[in-house]
Amino acid sequence: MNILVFLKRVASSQEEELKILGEGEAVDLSRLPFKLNDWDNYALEEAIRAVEKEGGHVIAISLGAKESDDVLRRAIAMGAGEGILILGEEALFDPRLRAIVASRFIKKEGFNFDAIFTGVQAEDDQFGTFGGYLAGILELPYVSMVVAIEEWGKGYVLVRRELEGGLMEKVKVSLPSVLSIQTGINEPRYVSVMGIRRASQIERKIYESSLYMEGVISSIEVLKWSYPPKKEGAKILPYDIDGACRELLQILKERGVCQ
Amino acid sequence: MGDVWVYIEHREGSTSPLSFELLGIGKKLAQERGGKVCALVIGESVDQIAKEAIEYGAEKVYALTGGVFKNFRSDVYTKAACQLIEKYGPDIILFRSTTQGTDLSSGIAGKLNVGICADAISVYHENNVLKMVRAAFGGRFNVTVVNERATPKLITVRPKAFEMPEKKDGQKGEIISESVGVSDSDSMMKVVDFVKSAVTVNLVEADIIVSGGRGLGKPEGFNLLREFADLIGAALGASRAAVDSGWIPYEHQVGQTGKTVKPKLYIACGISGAIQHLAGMRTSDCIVAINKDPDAPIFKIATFGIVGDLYQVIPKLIEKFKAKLGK
Repeated sequence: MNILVFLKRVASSQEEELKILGEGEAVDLSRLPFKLNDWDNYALEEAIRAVEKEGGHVIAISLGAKESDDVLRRAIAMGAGEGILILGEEALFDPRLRAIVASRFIKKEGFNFDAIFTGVQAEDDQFGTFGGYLAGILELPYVSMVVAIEEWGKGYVLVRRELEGGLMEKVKVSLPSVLSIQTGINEPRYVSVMGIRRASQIERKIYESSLYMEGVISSIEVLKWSYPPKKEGAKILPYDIDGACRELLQILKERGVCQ
Repeated sequence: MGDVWVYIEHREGSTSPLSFELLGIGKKLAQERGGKVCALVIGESVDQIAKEAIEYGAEKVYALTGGVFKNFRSDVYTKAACQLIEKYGPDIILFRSTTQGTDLSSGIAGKLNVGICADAISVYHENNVLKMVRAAFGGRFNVTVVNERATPKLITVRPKAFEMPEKKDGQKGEIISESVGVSDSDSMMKVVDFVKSAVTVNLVEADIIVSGGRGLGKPEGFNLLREFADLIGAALGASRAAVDSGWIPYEHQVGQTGKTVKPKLYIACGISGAIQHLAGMRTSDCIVAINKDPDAPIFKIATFGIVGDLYQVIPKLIEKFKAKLGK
């Protein structure tokens, strides 16, 4: 069984120094640490577990600048059999473009695969639509928010997905298909620095994204980045706990939140 | 022309009021564009939902029925919706950014080759251009975007980003029943079963959330929070730190990984306010933070703060609420 996993290298959003450039033209990413998108890490781990159990191999694919090689080396260290970089100088903000490039790449290079895994969303743009687009373009079935893979059968996979309100849905879906993987589905394995260094010895193939971009134009255009409205900070209620609780109750009542 | 469609989601025919929430903003946008607000309902039988959509303000309801639509399956729903879209040509389609809304909208986008604006927190017209604001980088930034080349413009909207429309009896609306050529053989998926998670918590729809973090110090701390939450009719949330410590199941997690929530009241107990957590709750209407550390970042975004030990504060609040409720 072959699984393609799409990995995105993202700027860490957990940093204090996230700043907007100029009048809101862009985000200053220059001083930020980059990492593998959290969701993709779970998707990768899940794919590796699947082939460890069922046989086959995992092909890790990343779309981005040359630095995205980092996440491919990491993937190989974790157990992916192959790493592929689709090299595009600019990070594509529009997930539809990413999906078009990915789908053309898959078709043109003639990959055989049983499933495509993606993370549910990327930490940076928070779109969460790449998998759905890709499935739509490739005309494959799509199951999002997968929280458990229960069974790989002949020509199908049985998965559990998360719905709202603590409800899960068990879905049997034909292969090949596209699954978007939710965090918490597994515990991604630890990768040592040594492991990543060893993985560097395995060649990663590079393809130019321009080969798959012909006639494609972006749909979503960014007008402006801004900071969310600043909050003034909490009104601190008196340090004496009894008084603070009394005041809180009063406030909540006035606001009609609690009776 | 200029019609705005609102996709009404349901689970095997059952809805909650929030299923209809986007008819409010849908109506506003439609009026500004000189069109109508229309509900799109797909299901096994949808009479009741169509009726309710009209009560919430839909001027037209496109109703697609058939046994094949009993469960939501992204492939058949996508195929069916695309046929209607091609026939009637709406300008804008709004979905909630839930599992169902996200699946369906991205399926349609892929099929019709149009862009989609996901998880918008604001949608408005400015000089006749439709603008959308969405969050990025874990809510650290807002991004204003346009999607001018697309028809229809697909937008998923974060739950509770807009006011609920009023529900009124006796509103007029037209129901257009449609049938499309979609059958079971079009689906490559089968919904085998629904499994109730061992924990059922509906954080996204809750009006009040009581949430605990690492500051609880021990798993039993959630027993106290649960007692408080039950008393005031709140859902129980948690930070990633608490979930990762194994104190409470993942279903309770609020944050960038976890649920994004927007309750009327969010009570954060022993939560320091890591960026990961703030991403999931910073837009709550009112945030109350209870923390021992006066310098905890949570106080920067909270509306009210109590600096103190939650093991003293929460029992006190329980006592006072009980007295108020006469329990």
